[in-house]
Amino acid sequence: MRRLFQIVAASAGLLFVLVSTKVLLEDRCAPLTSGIHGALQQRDVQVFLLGSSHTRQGYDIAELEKLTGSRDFAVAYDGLDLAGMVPLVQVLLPEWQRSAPRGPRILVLEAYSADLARTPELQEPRLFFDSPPRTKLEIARNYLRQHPHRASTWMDLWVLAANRGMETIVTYPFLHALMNGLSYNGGYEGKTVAGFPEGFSRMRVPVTGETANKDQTEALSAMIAIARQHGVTVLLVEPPMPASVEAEPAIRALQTEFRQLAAEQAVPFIQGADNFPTDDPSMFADTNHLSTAGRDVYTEQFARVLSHLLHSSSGRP
Amino acid sequence: MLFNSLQFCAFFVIVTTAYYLLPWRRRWQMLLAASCFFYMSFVPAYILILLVTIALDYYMGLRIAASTGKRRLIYLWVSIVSTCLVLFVFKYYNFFVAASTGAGRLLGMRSTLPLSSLILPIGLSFHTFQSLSYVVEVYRGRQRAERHFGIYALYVMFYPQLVAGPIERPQNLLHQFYEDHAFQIENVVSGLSMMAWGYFQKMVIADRAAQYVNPAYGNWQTQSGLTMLLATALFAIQIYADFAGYSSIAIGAARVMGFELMTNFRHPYFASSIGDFWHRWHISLSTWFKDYVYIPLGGSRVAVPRHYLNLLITFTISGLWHGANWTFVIWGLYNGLLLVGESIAAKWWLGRGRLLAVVRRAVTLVLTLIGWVFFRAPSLESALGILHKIALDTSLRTSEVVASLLLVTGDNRGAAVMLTTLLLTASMLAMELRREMHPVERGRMPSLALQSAQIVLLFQVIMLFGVMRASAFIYFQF
Repeated sequence: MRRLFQIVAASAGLLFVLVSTKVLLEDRCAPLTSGIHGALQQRDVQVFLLGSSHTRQGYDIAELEKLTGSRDFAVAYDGLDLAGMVPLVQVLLPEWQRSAPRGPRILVLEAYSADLARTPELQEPRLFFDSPPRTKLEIARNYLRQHPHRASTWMDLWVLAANRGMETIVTYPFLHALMNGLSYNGGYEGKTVAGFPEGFSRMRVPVTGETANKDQTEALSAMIAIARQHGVTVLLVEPPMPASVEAEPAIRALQTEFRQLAAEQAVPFIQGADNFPTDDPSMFADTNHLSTAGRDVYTEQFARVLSHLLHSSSGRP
Repeated sequence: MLFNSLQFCAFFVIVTTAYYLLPWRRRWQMLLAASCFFYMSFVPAYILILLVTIALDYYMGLRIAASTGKRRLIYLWVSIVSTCLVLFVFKYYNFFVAASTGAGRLLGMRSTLPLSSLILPIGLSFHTFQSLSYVVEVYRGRQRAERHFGIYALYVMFYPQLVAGPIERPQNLLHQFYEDHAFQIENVVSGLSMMAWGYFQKMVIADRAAQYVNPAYGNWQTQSGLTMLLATALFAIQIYADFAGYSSIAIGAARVMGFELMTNFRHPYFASSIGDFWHRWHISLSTWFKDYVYIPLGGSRVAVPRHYLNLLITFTISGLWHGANWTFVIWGLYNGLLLVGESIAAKWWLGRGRLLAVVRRAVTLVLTLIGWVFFRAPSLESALGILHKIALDTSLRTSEVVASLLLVTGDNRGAAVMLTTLLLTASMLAMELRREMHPVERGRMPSLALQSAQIVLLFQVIMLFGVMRASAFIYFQF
């Protein structure tokens, strides 16, 4: 029996050491040109775009910089909702301000209407992997708060801490440089995404309801408060979606909610679909992501808004 | 209750502890109750089917033992036909309807047979074969009929091997239920070590490979030849690690309680010929078919054409055993044909010589891979389409290599995930190669300290690299 206890104790002890080391140091293996770790390496970001895959696929960062003359960085994780963005804003804005007093001037928050009704959810484990330990702690706390009565919550967190991202660590010596080369300031580098082949007009996105989730609206208020505290202008932007998706009643209702929330907080809400060819299938890769052609058109369109903001004397719209 | 679930971990600890705490006379009752609970955790009602076949074969076993002359044969056939009938109704009926409808259409007739909506009870093919092996062995006089119904039920239902084998023989297992297994640390550590290796194979290798294989085969029409080649190679790894992993967990779980189950795999991808492969792959099933189909047909001690026919019949039935689909039939027939080919060319193909041995191993591996395409593809048309793609549409252009590597995640991590999977697979194969070259003799197991270290190390690898979502074992569907 003593042998059995020795095996169990040795397994548990070694695992604890390995996982603790992983959690504390893994962000050092994260890419330098994308994600929160990449963002923390920057010193003079003026425009900070934060969102999900829509943000990653919606903006050509190099082109945006060329058109606006600003230094931009996008942090994007798949399925990142407003509640998930808060820890990132909490860590990045103060850090940037500490290292470069001018700090970012504009925070572009993705306002994907379908996610406004959603219960907060951590879809992309890379966010945890890339984050510094204090942000990890905040993400874990949020997750526990959002899923207090689920038996699997602790298991999910354990898997997140112990198991996710091991591939990035193991292949770090071989692939880190390659991963860095695939992104420029958080946007895609050299990736082509084709337009829609068929069934474009029948596209729908799953929406969980027509009213805003309380956690999401509170998260929005919290981010706006942090931004104001650091003298940063907030823009709420929804990248364009296909006409059939934009026309869905649930989406329209949530867009109205977003508009109201923005008005209450006195921040502008920019509808990417305005003046965008939303009925052109070649502009979209799927129900809610732009194709490369769509990204080019939208980047140019958004650059005009951004230029106006950046070059106005107040820096406010 | 899958072996790779938290529920099973709790179940295993409770059952093993109870086994050693209970007096010897009560253990079989606890094991039988635990096995019923284990089986009912899948679909509770299907335990009734299992109980019917158990009761029937138990009774027939007694009747065979008590009878003489032709009656013995009659009881044997009643048992075989009724057990196979259960298998037919649940597993093959719809296949039979589809095949007869197709044949009828060719002859200008219309079939009116309705399709069945019955779900295949989990592990049906395994425990029916184990039951059949019992009645045949009693008929042959190699096993005395079991008088204790509970012990016989436990022989069929023993939870470690209930749903996916190894398909045990009564001579190996039944007597073990009468033995008093005292707690021995050697058995426990050795069993846990086997289980850890099984979990490593399943959760770290098989489930990782599945992340590539499933999307590739699920949407093979849009994939490149290179992607399908990679997916097929990874499927070969997946199915081996999945099933060998299951077998190791089963054998290990039984060994912890002092039971010895038969070996089911012996490094099959290091086989030196197709014949050798089938001596190493799913050994409990291969030997079952050899003992109860191939040899009764005459085996190799008949005229040469008849020997070849025996091989083809045995392997076609073996293919059909795996699933009610033409892909499995063709897979079985394909392996039978390969064995016939190997027999015809035996004089020079199975000759000595180091270079020939290397070539033979490589050819065996390639032929096995081709067979796996039929096994994994959803239909015959798909299998042929995939083979066509691999043969004529495989290129090593950078863009195709990159696209193939990115399939798993669709983003930059795809390359990292693929490279890690390949590194882990290589480490598993390296371990197996070591065991192949330096086999551990029975009775000369590694020291307890070494086995303990292996458990600790494998536990770390599983926790850090394993796929934590409990996914079903491939052979559960059979």
